[in-house]
Amino acid sequence: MKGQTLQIRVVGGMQQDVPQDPKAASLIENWTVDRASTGLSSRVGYEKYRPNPAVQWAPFQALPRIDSLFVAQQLPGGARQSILFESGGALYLFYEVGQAATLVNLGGRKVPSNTEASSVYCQVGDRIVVTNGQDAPLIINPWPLPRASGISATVVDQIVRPLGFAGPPPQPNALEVATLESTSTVGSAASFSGNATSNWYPTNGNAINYPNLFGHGYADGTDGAVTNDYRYKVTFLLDTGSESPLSESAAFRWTISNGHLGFRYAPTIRLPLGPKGTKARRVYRTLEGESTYYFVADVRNNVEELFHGFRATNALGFEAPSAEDSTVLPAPRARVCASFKDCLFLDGGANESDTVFFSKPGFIDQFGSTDYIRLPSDGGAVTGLYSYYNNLIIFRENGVDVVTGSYPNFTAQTVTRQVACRAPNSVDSVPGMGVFFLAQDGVYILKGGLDGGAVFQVVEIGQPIDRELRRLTEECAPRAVGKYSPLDRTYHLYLPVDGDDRPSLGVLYHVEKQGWSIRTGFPVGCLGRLHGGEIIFGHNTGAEAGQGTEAGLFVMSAIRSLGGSIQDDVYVTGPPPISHYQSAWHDFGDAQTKKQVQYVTLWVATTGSVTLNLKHYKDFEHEAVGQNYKYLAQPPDAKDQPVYDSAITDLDTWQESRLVPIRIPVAQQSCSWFKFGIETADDILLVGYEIEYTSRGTQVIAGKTA
Amino acid sequence: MKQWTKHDARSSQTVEADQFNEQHKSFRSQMTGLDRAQYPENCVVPGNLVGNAAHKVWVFAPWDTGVANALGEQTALRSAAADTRGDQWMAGTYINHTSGWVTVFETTLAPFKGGNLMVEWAGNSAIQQFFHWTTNARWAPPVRSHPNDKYMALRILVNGVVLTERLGPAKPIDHFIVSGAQQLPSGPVTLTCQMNPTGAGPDDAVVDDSGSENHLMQAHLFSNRVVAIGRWR
Repeated sequence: MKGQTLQIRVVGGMQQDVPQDPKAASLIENWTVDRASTGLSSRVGYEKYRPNPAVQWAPFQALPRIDSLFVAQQLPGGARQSILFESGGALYLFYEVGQAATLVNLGGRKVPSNTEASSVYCQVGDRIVVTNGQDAPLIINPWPLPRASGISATVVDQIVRPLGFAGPPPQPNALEVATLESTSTVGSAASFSGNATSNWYPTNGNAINYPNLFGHGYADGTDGAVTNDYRYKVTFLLDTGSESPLSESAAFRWTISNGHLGFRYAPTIRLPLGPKGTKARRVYRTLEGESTYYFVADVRNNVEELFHGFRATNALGFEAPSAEDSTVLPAPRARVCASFKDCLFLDGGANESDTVFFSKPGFIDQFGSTDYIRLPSDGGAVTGLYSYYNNLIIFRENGVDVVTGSYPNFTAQTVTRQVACRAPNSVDSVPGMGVFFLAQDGVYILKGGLDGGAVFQVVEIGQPIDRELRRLTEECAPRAVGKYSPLDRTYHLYLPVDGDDRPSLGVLYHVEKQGWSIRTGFPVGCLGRLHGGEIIFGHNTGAEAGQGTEAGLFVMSAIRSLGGSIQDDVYVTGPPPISHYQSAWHDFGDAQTKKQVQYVTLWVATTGSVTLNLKHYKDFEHEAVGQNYKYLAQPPDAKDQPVYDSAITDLDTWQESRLVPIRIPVAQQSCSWFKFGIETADDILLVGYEIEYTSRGTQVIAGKTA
Repeated sequence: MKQWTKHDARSSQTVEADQFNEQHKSFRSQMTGLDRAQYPENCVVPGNLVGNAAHKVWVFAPWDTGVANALGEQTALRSAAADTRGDQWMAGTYINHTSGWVTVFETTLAPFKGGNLMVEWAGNSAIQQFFHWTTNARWAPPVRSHPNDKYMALRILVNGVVLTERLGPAKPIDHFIVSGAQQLPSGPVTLTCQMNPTGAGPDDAVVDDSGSENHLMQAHLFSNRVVAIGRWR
């Protein structure tokens, strides 16, 4: 008897709340979206970042869990791709130029506690700023580097330095100006024996050409003797062009007594040496007896100590920056950072948790003393910063604010106080969707803007998988990590669940499907995105789990194995992940009418002589009514497509996957709701399905009386 | 740039072009297709290879057959019996060759599916070596004689491009092996073997003094074999 057919042409994403949309699935575990059919493909797995089995886990074999990970891109084509990560209390640069694989230890970092977010990285130009709320923010310049064998401690020292200025430059040391004695023959004063210089320039045109070009001060006074008063200050210029606060001043005074007239002098200061990253020191001085400082000269090194202020007053440059223009790093314990409108934004860290500071545009080490925004205090501490179009989104303990404007007129507005993100590394933007982030009660997206009449909207998108998201270990939510991959057009979010202190469950939003799936068995500690769009992750246990266990960096790919292991000193790839699919609970339009399901016809794209293993359920029962219906993913009514192992090279031709219906009879007695499931470790492409059923109109009996 | 698995070829899985290409494209600048390590175990065994699926071998024995009275001798540049001394080969002579490359063997290798081609040409040669000193070369001073080396250069060409070239045998009777290998695109390959015997010097005799002026031998090839091996997959 021909029954009625329910047809689902393309399967949808997961939906755990009931009753379900017929397209939805009760469970999609370890599947990805097949780009050709937008169906589900079980071709998922992960492999070592260094695919060569001979190297085993090297050079990561001794590293415990990877706490944070960042992939910096500096040139088109993937050249100058630098991987930075933290593990075991150290920050590493993974140097792999020219087939090298060397871990460059950039220094110690605090290991984040289980309830703390791990380090946040922000790329500004060719530099990378790293903040973690505990250690001083770092600035890293990962390029250029010598050959791996040449990465000495000196080279490492040049890669990394603290961000900003810890203080103003030390006061320059003023050497005494030794004036000449005007006797019959001019000679140096005999009474100066050190810490004094005598740089003199005659002021009379009969003595030298251009007598007014050099030296400063009065050479003589209206009544003979004259005193000259000058002050000098210096600043440091870092390799980012940032200028430090002004130093204390060095004061000079020299008197030209009557009878010794006719000479100007160039006083000498002993310059302080700048901190790491200093490329030049800038000298300012006053006019005689005044207090405004003007540019004298740049000393374009961090080596020379003596500076002679030979420049005449009429050759001075611009006015020195004010005390407000540069100050010491205002957020020495910043937790998060972001680049927005060419400024580096830092949160105030634990001490000023509701304040964000921003640098001068283009000068990421230089912070003006008034360049900060105090946020409304009801939002709580800043937990994340994310640049999005014309806005800087500020995630806070109790809400979301947004900064707009441009330097120095940034303003903050509140978007919501009802949704908050405490996992800064879960934030990533998804094309056409908005900014995804993990909140304490689910996954949300922030979309829209504030320009042209647009509004920001915070929309919950995680509802269909709320049962999974409720498993979140809330205290450890800051350790959740998320990243969008353009390769599979999927937002990958890994979160700690069921009391785990590190990410242990993956939930994936597939843009093409506008729906969710989950991943299990992927030991993600932190996530990054490679140039090709591949998701790279740091292992969540590493060598903590014992010697020889998986450690280091891994890549999610189409390999059909979950990592690998070392057996008898040989690297062996792991087993493939088990992929589960369970359809929605179908009531076929009316739950109170009993149905007899006769066939499930799977629409699969052929993948070969691999086994489809089907089971089916009724009325929300956990036990399957029938199982082990095994069918091949081959065309049912045509010749088998050739498969690896038996295809004859040069005789068989390359195939294309074909969409075929595989009709599977199921023996199901009457039910109100029906679902089926597939479980496989093989390569299966599930596109859609049909369910054929009959109904005699029998209705469920009345409910049990109490 | 490093690449990771786009397609994991496994047992019992369709040999699917899209999947293969996915992996192939990711490695495009590095290799040509799936590495053997990416095949399922024992995927390629003799049972699922047809003839010439992975390689082809050609063996040629030029001049063995097909030419009357050839007797294993070269037929290019061969003098007529009437011109030749009875105790010499019907060979290339100074009369019918002055200088330059002469094709002695040419064939087409097909099917060639693209990959590595190795060619080996082995054989025996005879060259006229008696006049190896001269005094009348343009550059030679009048009172001293100078070497007038005689040899037979050999070269192999594929599709008209030199694959390998050697100075060649320099003894009256010698044997040689010339070989070379190259990566080639798919399509028929024209294989050419050429010789270039040294021309006569200013003092060399080119005919004998018997009165009938039989042509003297310049160079001669005999008992040659050419082996070509194409490897692909």
